[in-house]
Amino acid sequence: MASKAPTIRYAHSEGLTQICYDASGKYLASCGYDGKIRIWKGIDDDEPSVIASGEMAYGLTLRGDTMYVASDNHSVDRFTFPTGEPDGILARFTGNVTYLDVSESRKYVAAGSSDFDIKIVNVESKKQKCYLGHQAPILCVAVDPMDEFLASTSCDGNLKIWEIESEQCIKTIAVLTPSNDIENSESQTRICWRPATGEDVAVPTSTGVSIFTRVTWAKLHSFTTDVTSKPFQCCAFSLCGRFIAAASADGWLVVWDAETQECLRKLQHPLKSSICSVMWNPLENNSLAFSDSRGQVGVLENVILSEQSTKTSAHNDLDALFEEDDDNMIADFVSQEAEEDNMEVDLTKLKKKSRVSNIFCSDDESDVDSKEALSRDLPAIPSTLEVLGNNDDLDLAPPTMPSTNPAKLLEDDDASSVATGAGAPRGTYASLISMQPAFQPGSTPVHLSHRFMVWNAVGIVRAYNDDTENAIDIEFHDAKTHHALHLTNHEQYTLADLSDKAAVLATESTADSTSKLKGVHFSSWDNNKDWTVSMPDGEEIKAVAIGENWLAACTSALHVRLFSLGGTQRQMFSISGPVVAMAAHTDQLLIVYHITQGFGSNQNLGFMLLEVGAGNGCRPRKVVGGQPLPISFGSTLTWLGFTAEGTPATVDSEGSIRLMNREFCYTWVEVASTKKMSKSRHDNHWVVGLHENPQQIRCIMCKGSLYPATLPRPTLAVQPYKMPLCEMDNDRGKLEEEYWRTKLLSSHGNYLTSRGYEPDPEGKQKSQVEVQQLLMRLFALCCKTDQEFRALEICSLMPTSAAVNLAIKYSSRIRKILLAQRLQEVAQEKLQEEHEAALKEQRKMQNVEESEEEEEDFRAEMQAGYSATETEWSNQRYRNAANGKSREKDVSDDDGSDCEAVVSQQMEEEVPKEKNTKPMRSLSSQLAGSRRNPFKKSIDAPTNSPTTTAASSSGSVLDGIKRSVPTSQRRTSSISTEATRKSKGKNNSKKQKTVQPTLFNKLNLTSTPKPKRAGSRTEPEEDESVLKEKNESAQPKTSRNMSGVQLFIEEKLSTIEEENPEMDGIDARKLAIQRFRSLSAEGKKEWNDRAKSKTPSSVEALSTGGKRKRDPDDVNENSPPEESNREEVNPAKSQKVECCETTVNSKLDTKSRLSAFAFTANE
Amino acid sequence: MEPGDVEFIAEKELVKIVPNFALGKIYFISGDVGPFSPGLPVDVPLWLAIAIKQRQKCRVHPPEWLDVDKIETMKDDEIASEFFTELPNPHFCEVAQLLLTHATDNIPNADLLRTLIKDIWDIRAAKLRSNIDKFVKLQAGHARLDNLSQMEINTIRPFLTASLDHMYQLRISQSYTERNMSTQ
Repeated sequence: MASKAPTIRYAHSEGLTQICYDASGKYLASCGYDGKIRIWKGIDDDEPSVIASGEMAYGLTLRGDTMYVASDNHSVDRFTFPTGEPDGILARFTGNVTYLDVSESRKYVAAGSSDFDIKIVNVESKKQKCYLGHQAPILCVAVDPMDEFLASTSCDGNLKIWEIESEQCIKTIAVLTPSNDIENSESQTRICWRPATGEDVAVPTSTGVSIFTRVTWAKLHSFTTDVTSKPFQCCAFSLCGRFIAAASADGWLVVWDAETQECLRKLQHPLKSSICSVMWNPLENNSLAFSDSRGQVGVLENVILSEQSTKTSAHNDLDALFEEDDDNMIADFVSQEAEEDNMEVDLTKLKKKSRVSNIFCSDDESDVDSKEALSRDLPAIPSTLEVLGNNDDLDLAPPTMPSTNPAKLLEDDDASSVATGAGAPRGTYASLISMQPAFQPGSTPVHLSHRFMVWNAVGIVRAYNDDTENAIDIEFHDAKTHHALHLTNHEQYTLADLSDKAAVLATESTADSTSKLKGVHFSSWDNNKDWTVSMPDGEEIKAVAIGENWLAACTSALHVRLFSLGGTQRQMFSISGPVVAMAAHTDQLLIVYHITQGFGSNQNLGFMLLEVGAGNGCRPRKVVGGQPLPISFGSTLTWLGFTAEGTPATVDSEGSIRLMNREFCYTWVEVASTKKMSKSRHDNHWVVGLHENPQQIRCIMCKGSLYPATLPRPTLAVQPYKMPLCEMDNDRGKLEEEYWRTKLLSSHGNYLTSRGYEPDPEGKQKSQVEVQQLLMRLFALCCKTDQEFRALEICSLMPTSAAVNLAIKYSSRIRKILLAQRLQEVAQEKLQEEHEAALKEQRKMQNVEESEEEEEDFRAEMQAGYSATETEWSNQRYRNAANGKSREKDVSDDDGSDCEAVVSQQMEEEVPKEKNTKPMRSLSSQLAGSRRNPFKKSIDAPTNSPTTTAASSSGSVLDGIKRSVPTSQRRTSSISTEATRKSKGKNNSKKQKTVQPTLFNKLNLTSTPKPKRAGSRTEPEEDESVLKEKNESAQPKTSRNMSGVQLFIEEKLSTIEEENPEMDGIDARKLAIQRFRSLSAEGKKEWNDRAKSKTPSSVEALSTGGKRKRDPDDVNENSPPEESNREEVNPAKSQKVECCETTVNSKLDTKSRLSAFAFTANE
Repeated sequence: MEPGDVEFIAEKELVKIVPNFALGKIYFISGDVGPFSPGLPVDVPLWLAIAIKQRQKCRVHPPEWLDVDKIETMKDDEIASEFFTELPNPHFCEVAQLLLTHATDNIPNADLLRTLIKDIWDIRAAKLRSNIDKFVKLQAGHARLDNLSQMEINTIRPFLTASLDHMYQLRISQSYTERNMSTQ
């Protein structure tokens, strides 16, 4: 049976010993009659650190970084751990201290002494309580995990249960034969409470281990074994509460399954010496440490052999159970359980915490049997992993408030509960424990002496609670918000939230005062910054949250109370379950609460999102109410809050970060998993804030723990989002993920706009451009892999028709004519939509505009404030769009071809758009306080020329794509494709024609791309006369000629300027052009040839030429000669029809820059 | 080159600070810094960190190596090793010195660190001196020293080169007189 013998080693001199694990399970501490305490780094440690503590050490306990030792110098000493430095004396007795125990909450230290006295010291308040009643030296004391009761055994043979608060003994049970001293006692009777819940207490007796249930303190049952007849010395529950280990005076170590009462492991000490202490490893549940009376310590690994399975007893008493149970609810529950069981559903998960069966557990044998029956399909032994999971739940649970006492609940429930025999212990509702307690997002557990009460985007609230001080520090990330605050914390505030205007603190009720809420309104202009509100009797504040100018507190009475920042009570309302957490942002309030008890270790949470209407005249509105909140399976909620932009977000204990998707039916979507970020399984990312723009998860890396310590001061780290889309290992998956992520994280803009906030045009444009780029890359990818239908689908996702046009060009370039034709349809649809939208907006605007025309300029400047109305810039945009439309009508009438119309329409539409961006940007950049980079080398600084931004950004979308084709030609190709599509089926020859130009284009561009580009570049720079001339002479005079002209101008300009110093740049250029025209044909040809020969090596020369060329234009922009009106941004004047052509031409240029590209891979 | 110059060069090293103010990017000739958002660590040149720190606008995160344990092991290594050990940063001394004077409150055990760094400096200086002594005594033509920091080179260079020159001249004149003597 024994798979592996325990590792045993000498530690102390002969006599009683005790052994103890620290919380991490790494260290072992032992003490014995040699008065030494040894701290072992695992059982293999050959050099344990030794601490001397008196002549004899009777007992020790480790909690956190403190070690309590009971020694023969009549005192309970404190040592730091693991350094082992003395840390003072906690309590004194008149006799040797024989045993001590620290409560799970670390609040109480109980010690028993050979002077028959038991004392409990409250670690925080240092108050002592005495429990007198035993008639002999105390053998053992044990504090209830709920801090309500104390169990003790003494050499007088009695087990006594005390009420800690009242110091009263409430039950005395004889458990062993009396003796006169602890050495002479037949058993050490080291008792043990069930961890976490304290629903029963295990007492080692002469025959086995007896279980006494809470409240009634009746003997529930006992675990027995036939291997030994000697009395049991000690017992210990495993941390998950599932197993119980006990050891006997003749060295037998026995492990039972606490549920099935089956003996899982029997093992005798090789030397058969009496084992006097046993403890489970808190981290690896499958190993336990023990120490014997020979002064040896040992560790037994693999306590429970995993191949072993629990045998099931007959399914006999289930029916009887049903008959007995009158209570419908319980019966239903049982039958449901049974049903599931019958269906062979794997209940492992449900039973993980093994609480389910307890719900209907009553004492009599039949119930126990039925329990066994229910668990018959269970693999008896949870794997180490699962056990670990349990430990996490218990030990490293997220910040909690002390949970409601199950005993209280128990009593309340009792009346309506299962009718059980008189005196029989009732079933405990311990399963309520699996409902996660309420917590404050961004806080660390309450029991820590130095803890974060909250860490959020505004600042940090820290609480110090130790010997020297009891205080709260409020510190702000931004020194501008307020200076740091230091408050004394006499009222023991445990909950806090912080905004840039105020902080709110809350405390639970104590014996002499009710639960209190304190507001620290530090931004108030009067002198009275603090206010306090007491809750009604019996109402405990469970969660607080602070919004823009209001705050909310949720209480145990399921009330949500709203207050103003000044402390005025506002609305209150009820929620339908105990609150888990609450978060606020501007006027949004998000509450997460328990809907019902979840199955197994799952939480059944619901959430409610409200707009409380406390903001600037906003009206209260329920956004989402009472929906279940999705969290990962078997996890608990660990963080709740809003992104900086106001989107609700959650983090659960599995590390999944979820955002609410407002655009998609208020569903929740996982945007990142912190578990995947961390290298080690034990590391945790403690999220403190989320940002959507820029996409950042701000968190603190906690190595080997769930939350950070206050010192050394933790550092924020930034992590990226990553949605768990499929096939993330290939390009397509990555792009798709990036697309949806960008979509999701930019959707807050719409919400903010709808809430009356002025959207950030820059950010919006940026995200739009990003989306467009991603789609374009996806599109190119699909085209490459010949997935034309998918390419079409992607195109229909594109935001603008301009983007689709790019796609059309691209597809026709790579000879996917069919695709291009289909895309044309998409483009037209988009165009139509855009126009309808624009018209609608324009109509709306015109109404506003008429009344407020004169105020427009002011309004533009007031954009800084939040205003729901559009500003002048956007108005003009729509006005222009409308004008463009009327003009376009004219054009279409003249030409009689609608495809032309489409193109011109497109072009015109974009002019005002781009003009628009400039003022918008400069405004917003002023607002954001961002500055231009004076050192930036590129000439087209994005802030200055929006057109180039568009061009360059689309250029970077299509990274490998050359910009080479003059727009005019490319345009004709697309036009003609469209034309063909219209007359499709009519004429085949026409179709050929369509193909030909495209091919021709391609040929052209591969042979001589450069001069054309030069030509297209020069277009806008040229004077109107040239443009006219060009139009007259039409296309046959190709752009190659133009570059000849340019070369000519370039060379002659300086001489002309020298000749005519009175001329400005434009006139000089006119003159140059005239001279060029007056040249003979040969002369012209010569120039053209020169230009041609120059080009291959002169890309740079050209571009610098372009740069030089631009200068006069820039001058014009600033000085007001007449030309500037035509070329530059004056929407009002551009309405003149004569200017129209110029605009079109400059437009052509932008378009050409925007769209001139070729995919290198395909060339 | 003055020690001040070396320090000036060292001020280009990046350190992490946690600002308590919000500011967009700052554009410097040597590159962009920022944006700064309160509470979020950001890498800035040392000189900027000090400037901001002096205005009480940030907390400085000491570099990883500026830690008592690490420096102590460094010191032990330095003592144990015959040669110069590799420093965690080419401007180890300058950066540590600057941080320890200007951001004392952000560095745990600053005083202890200061002593340790001074110790390391002294050990290395002694090593350097003894090496030079050996070098001069052997009248060697060249020697190789690895892992010297700029500051160390700088402290020894003016004196060493000048004295070598001097010795050379003395030697020349000596041999000259010797030759004269022998010819006579």
